[in-house]
Amino acid sequence: MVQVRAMTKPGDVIAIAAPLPKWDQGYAYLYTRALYPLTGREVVPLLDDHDRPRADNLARANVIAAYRCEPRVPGFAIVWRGRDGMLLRRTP
Amino acid sequence: MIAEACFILLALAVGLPLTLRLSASPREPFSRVGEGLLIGIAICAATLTLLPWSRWIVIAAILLIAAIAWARVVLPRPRYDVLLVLALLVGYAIYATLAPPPEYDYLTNWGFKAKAFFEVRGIDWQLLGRSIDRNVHPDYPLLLPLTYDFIAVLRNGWNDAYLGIVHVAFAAALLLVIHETAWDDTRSRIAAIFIAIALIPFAATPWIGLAEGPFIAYATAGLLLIRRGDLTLGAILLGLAASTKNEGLTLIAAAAVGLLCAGRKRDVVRLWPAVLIPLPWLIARSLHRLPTDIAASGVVARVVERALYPAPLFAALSSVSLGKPLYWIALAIGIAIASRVLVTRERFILVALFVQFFCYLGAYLATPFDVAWHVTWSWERLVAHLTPALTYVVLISLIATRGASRTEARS
Repeated sequence: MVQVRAMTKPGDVIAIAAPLPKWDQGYAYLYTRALYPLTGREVVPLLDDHDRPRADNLARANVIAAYRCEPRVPGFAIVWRGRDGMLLRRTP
Repeated sequence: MIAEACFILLALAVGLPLTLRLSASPREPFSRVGEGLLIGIAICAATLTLLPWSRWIVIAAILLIAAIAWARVVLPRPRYDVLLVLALLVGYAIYATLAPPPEYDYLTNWGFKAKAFFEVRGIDWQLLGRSIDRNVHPDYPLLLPLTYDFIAVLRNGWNDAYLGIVHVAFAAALLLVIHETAWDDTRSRIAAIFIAIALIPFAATPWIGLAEGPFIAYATAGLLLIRRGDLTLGAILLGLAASTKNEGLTLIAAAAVGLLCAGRKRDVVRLWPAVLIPLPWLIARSLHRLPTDIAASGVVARVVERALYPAPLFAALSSVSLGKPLYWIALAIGIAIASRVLVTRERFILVALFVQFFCYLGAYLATPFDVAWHVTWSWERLVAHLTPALTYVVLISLIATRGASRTEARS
């Protein structure tokens, strides 16, 4: 998260991606824990609390912070890769 | 830790003279350091709601208020015995500052809001209005996040490494109030020191970063001052409790009921500062339509259903640990021994605490969340709001009971 903060700027909309398909089985914790280190950015979840995908948030995001997964998302390019995840930024 | 130390000095500089002006006689400045610190912290936080978030502007404002308030205040001889109580907080200070606050509620609520506000150098109403996560609680009052922000403004940067010192300051302030009140009640230095030391575990809460410690300090100090007739100061502290946590709003009503039951009807009106202080926040949050989860739609149906079928609530309550069993056994024995004194002399505190306890149960009936989940993550903290004042009156009543039986034996 420290690296994600360093590579993003205030106003960025960051979607949190993780290989956790259920809100209450890890995703909620990961998402809410990202709020504090990423203040100033808008952090949005890609799941709701009924485990439904939030395509609207993906459409709004210009950055994806991926935790322990390597998503291939059209319109996004990998800008950084670390031990626990990667950062993707929307391509112009 | 320079910013944190400056913050405590500024809070004392502005809070102590104002406390002396507001408190009832006798006004003994050294014995008012606790109240002074509690009020000073709130003034520091409040400056951020009115002034630009600039170090020199807020320092100048605090020093100006302090200079005006200090005019014609005479400093008396300090009492050093209380330093023994404060010295025992050193271990707590080490614990509180070992690492940045790690609590989940700090990272998603109290600390998150403070850090987010500091990023934009103001209260971020847009952020509060956004539905981020239920744990962010946009309707919670902002005294604690603004306190963290005040330190960040002094430092001119965000650093949470030593924010735990705020909680040590609140614990110290409450213990000073307890010591002073115990001295007032017993006129015994040893008894005052003993009671203050006995209450250290209640003032020094383990939840660093959360609003529990500050709320307990404001609420307990407020109740103890109202109990002894210092209505204005006590009501201000109750108002600040309501500016720290929403539970403080019900505590104002609980204190009013307590006063009525104690036959102090006229004093109820004098609680007006307690209502006035949280009012701006209540208006602001209403104007910004910040949602309160307890009041989410269907509240009446939830309350009725859970009141008719309370078994899950009782099961949840009985499954949560409430600290050391030995403490509760000792408290029960103390209540049994001092029951007569408690009922005759401590009706205000007992009724206020009972009403507040009842409100907490009401919140569980109304919660839109799973009751077991809600109870598991809050019950221990809610009970901790009530135990310091309860323990205090039980200890004082035991001392009074012992004194009465000695007098009887002599005669």
